[in-house]
Amino acid sequence: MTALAPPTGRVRGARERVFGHTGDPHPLMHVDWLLVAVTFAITALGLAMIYSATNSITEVNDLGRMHYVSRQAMALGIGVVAMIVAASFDYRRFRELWPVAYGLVIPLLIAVRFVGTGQGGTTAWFDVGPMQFQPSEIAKLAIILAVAGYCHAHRGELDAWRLAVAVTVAGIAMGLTMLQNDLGTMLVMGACTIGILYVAGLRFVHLLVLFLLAASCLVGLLVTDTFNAYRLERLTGFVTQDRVEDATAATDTEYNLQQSKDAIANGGFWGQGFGEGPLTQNGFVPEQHTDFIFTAVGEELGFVGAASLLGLYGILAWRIWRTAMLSQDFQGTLICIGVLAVFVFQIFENAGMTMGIMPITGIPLPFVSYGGSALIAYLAAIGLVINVHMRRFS
Amino acid sequence: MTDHSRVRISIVGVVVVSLFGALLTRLWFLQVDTSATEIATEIDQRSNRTVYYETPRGWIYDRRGREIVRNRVTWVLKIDRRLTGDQQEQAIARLSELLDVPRADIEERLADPRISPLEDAVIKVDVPDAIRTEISEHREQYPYIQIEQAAVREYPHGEALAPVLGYIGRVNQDDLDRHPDEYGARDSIGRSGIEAAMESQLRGRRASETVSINPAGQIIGDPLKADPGEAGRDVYLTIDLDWQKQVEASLAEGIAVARRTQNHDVEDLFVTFRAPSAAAVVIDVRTGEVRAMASLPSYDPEEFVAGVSERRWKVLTDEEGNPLFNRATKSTLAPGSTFKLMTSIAAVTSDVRSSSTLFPNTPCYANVSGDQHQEFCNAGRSGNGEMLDMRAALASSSDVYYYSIGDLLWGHWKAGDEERGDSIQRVARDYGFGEKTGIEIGEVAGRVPDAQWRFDYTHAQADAGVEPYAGNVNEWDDWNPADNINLSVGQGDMIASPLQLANAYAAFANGGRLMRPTLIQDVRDVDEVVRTTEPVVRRALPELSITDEQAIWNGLVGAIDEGTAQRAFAGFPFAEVPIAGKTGTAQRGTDYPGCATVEPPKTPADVEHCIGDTSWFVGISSVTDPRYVVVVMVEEGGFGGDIAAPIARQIFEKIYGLGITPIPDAARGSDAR
Repeated sequence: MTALAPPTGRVRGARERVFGHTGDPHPLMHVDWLLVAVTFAITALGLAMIYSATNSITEVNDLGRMHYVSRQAMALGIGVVAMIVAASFDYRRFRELWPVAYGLVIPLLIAVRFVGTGQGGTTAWFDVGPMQFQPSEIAKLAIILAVAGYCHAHRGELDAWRLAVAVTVAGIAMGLTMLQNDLGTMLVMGACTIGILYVAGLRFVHLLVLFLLAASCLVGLLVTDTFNAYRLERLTGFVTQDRVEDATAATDTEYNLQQSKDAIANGGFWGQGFGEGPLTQNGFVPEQHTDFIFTAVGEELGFVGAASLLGLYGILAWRIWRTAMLSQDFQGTLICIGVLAVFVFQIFENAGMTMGIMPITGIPLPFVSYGGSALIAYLAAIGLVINVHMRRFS
Repeated sequence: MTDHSRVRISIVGVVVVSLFGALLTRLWFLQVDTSATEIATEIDQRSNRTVYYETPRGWIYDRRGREIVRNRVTWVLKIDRRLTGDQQEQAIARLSELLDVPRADIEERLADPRISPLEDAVIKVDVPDAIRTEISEHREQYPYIQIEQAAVREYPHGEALAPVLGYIGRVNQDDLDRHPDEYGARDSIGRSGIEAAMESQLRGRRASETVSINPAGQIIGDPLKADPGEAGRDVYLTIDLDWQKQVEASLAEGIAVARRTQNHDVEDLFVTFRAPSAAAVVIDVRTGEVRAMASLPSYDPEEFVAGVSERRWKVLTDEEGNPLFNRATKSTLAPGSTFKLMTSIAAVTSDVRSSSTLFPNTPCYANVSGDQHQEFCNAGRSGNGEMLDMRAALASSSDVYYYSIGDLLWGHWKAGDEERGDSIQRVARDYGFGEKTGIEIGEVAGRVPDAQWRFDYTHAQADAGVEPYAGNVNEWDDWNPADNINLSVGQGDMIASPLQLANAYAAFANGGRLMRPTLIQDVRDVDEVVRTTEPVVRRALPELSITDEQAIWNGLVGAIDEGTAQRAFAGFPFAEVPIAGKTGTAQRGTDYPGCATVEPPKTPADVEHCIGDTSWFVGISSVTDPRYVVVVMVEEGGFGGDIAAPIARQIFEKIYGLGITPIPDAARGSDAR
């Protein structure tokens, strides 16, 4: 594998600075195996939890017991390929090529608005044979590459005009995502954009302006018809949650949240045991194999299991953050920060909503929730981080 | 990378750490710092459900193992009763066409207030295959209509024994409150008769399955717990089905004869007896086992299987006929002359008259005790002063002879010798009158009137404002000679059920043991007998002297071969089957609404509300080896010897395998009192 990095302008990594670099610069020698291991450990746990959480849904719909698990495993296979591809390519090529990736994704986002299918008011994916392809998941990667690439090109000189360009680049993809009614994914895109811009040297005043902009956009959405009542109710459900005394008077969202919290609480410290959680096994938590899979972990594996999962995510975040620190160049740092922001935002939002501390939005728990496109995109994102990590000396 | 960037990346790291910290804290409070067991119990209830199924109800057999009530699995069509408006209209219209039943019938079943609105209404039992196919192939056209298999009761012998068997119905809220753990909202329960009395045996124990359910109530996975329950046990009755059918046929024949017999109590007008109902009991005197028990009119219990319409229910329960009412154990009528057995025993045991003392049979008797003197006459003022001993008095059913005993005993009571004065009452109570016999099914206690009863009753009526008692209660609350005189011939306020009468005669026939009558021979689990009814002696009665006992027996024999039942038993092979018995012709209380006001009656409508005499007969077979007592009662049937006695004769003929003698039309001027 030949690195096509420019020979000059190389920034030395932290470790190299401290210990001095004596090792082989070949990238394959510097793959972050801990990151890889943690990624697959979480994915394996995800497969197990999908199996457990689909007991009821497969029986009721007369599907095979492995229906969802096998599809997810298929996506995992594709994802591993995607990860290797994402790692193989020298990420520094995206300094110039990010518009290509971005240009490929935008038409998909437009197309899905018209020919896509979805649920709960969204039109977020294409049906591809038995699988579904959700372009907004890939779009997250495109935004990371685009914003990181743009900011890297103008590092140190991120004035208001260039900031506006960067925000527009991300904003177009975000707006298209919002047109699919996919608020959650849009928020993830926003979080990762702000994360990259922040590390890229965004000035505090501009950050403040950005937050005001985002807030007014949100308020604007809330008062328009585009944002249907169902979405609004789901968003605000977590605010009203404790006021619900009478179960029959609860709205769908409140019911959803109550079942979700009950399932987690039912896990206790040690959990009910894998395949033994009554609410999980009997399908009491709606959307449990996708957005609410954290409740299956909570009920069946208990505090021990859920905290361990958060611990694995912690290691994942640490390794990504560390890669950001070690990166050979600023572009790599920004890519890693983007990936980190995506994961952390999703983990916090997803786990948080199941526990009632965040509003309910339809975003998956990385590597664990059922959903092929997302898994493939996340593995590709890890691939990017590995890419940065293993090229830190070359 | 600039140091500025490093600081910012570090800040990002701090943000990440604090977010994870927030998640962990929340997780801790949710999972560990809660009353987890409480939540777990609640969740258990939410995700598990125990479903109960009724197990097959036990069958009912006669003493020889012939099926009387059995189960049959059939298809039942039901409608959701929560339907309203157009949906209901459509469902009714479609079903009416499909089943070819009037819409009104379906509407009535849907509107039936007797069952819970949440419960489906049964529209048809035994749904033909063609209709079942039609509905299941066009489900979308028949929404809210269920066709399901159900086990229903089947009665191969139709009306036979129906009022004794009783029927089953759906449990109501009362039943559920009383047995919260045993019944579900859609279960059946025995409502009367054997079905109710033997409910605990027939029902068995319901099966249950604890299953996991999802929020939609769909069952997930295999049952967590399954209890197969226990099928109901079979009940073998003491009834002999052949005898039972003969008893019912004979009663029906007797009713038919009575209805074409002129009631000569109504003068100058041709009126026949109404004979609306009848009852009979055959009892084994040694064990108290009931061999046959009939009550007419009867009904077809199959009606209850499909559900009785409200209209039909009113007919079944409200009208005078009331076929659900088991007259053999629940009717309370004056026993008339059949009660003279009690008076005879009271006379000899209280020494007011020995069995050999002669007494003149004058047409009327004037009481000697008390201040007021009135005349009490024989029926038809018969009697020409011939001297009667107890045997002859019983055989000819002389009222005057017994009036005098009642009168004398009242005198003793008035003189302060209550022990002796209440002899008739005491003997009657010893023989089981005035209290329940203890049989398994529903029954009444009847009444043996005495001074205390008179006082209490009058004052209770007065307190309730009933005239004439309320006007001057002190005038009415005395125990007068007439009261005791009426009692001596089983009239007045004395009332008893046919079963009580049979049981009293059985106690006399078996030598003085009052048995507890029973309908249950044994209870079987498949073929294993799990419960047997042993004969229960409720009371050993005071012994009679041989002379007195002989005199009474002879009187009862005399009633049949030379007395009041002579004509009814003419030609009966006494040499083979020596039987004894007593007729009774009892007036119905003192209420004759309408009768007293229209005199003389001009048209049958004038006597429409007059109530005819109750026709009684009690027979014992055989005299030499007492085995069975037969009691026959025909309400408003006329003379005991004309109607009840010939019915009893047929029953005896059946018991002893003799040819059945048709019941002859009664002759004018019968002396068959």
